[in-house]
Amino acid sequence: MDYKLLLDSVVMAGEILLESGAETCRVEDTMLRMLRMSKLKTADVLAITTGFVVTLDDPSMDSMTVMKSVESRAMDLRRIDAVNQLSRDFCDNRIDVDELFHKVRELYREHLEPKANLLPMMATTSGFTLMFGAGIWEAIAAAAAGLISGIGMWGCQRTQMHSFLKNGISAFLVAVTAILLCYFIPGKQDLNVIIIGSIMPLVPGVAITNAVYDTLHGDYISGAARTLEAFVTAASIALGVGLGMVLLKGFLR
Amino acid sequence: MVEFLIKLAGAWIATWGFAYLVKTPGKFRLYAAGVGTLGWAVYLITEMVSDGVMMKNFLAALAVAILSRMMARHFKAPVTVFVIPGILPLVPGAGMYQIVYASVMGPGEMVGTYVIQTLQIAGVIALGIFLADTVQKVITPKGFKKI
Repeated sequence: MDYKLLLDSVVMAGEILLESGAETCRVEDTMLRMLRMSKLKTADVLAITTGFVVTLDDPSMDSMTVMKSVESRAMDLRRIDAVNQLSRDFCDNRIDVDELFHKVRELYREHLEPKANLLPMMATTSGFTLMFGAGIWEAIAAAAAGLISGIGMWGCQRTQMHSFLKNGISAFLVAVTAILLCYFIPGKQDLNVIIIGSIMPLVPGVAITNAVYDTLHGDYISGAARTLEAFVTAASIALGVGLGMVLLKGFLR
Repeated sequence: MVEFLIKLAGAWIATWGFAYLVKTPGKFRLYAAGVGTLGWAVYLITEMVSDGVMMKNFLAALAVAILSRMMARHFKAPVTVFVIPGILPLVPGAGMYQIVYASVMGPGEMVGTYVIQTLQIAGVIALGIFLADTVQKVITPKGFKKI
């Protein structure tokens, strides 16, 4: 087996996982499983949320160590699932190391353009509004708020804005759209349920889930980092909504 | 009853949309939405029989986590594929909004209450996921050891 090729494949796989928002315990586990297939004496991985170190060593050869710093991007469950599938295939000897390398590299080189995804965004916001017990008009208003905030979010992603600002701006747009719609559409709408439903795509559900998994696996550094991420995300959303409400206080009924 | 079904339909649409946003693979999207809907059904049913905020969130999170584990085992996919969309309806977005609303529009003394309540809900959800994970670890033998 070509150990260099294996290590390269594993490093790429780890980077894909980490930047797609996988829990660090999964990153470590997946990489370690693949490295163990080499049957070398030492194979070890240390992953944290912003990078990892991986080493492969045996008395018969020089040790190989790779350190990689990883910038996290948007959550991408498809890539996590794809790497997981490749790792399963490799560990069950269904594919060899060459095939693994080529498939991982294909996945690694994928060009990921930020997509607007406006329709799913509108579905999510109006769905949540219905779920919290609102009527049809509130759901439509939430869809509009989702559309506007989705456009804002897409713009922020295109300009590679920091996620704190991105969430804050999206939440601000939600608040402004919802308040103005409630003011100008005749009839009695429940503003609260529209805003609550429309900020749901922004809330730190992913961070909370990953924080639990990381802490559960004894990975307290990553768990604490994820918890902090959840708090920062929540704060940015609160800031955005709060700013919108303060600015448009006159339109609140 | 109609209201109950409308809420469930909303949960289904919302979870499906969010599953799309986090790029759940197409073949799992419907199942992920199903997990979210079932979690919300557990939430609503618990709400009918008990008043506590904790209980409904805990049981719903537990249901989501267990169902996700079963699906992950069945489809040989990572459990996060199902948990992340499925848990979203339970994340305390309403609590976060109430904190902001109370601090902007008043009454100011409610802010602390809402902060504590939101943290409690988040903690209870975490506990639900945690419990399901631990139980699964105990009942299934592990073939892969971390030396």
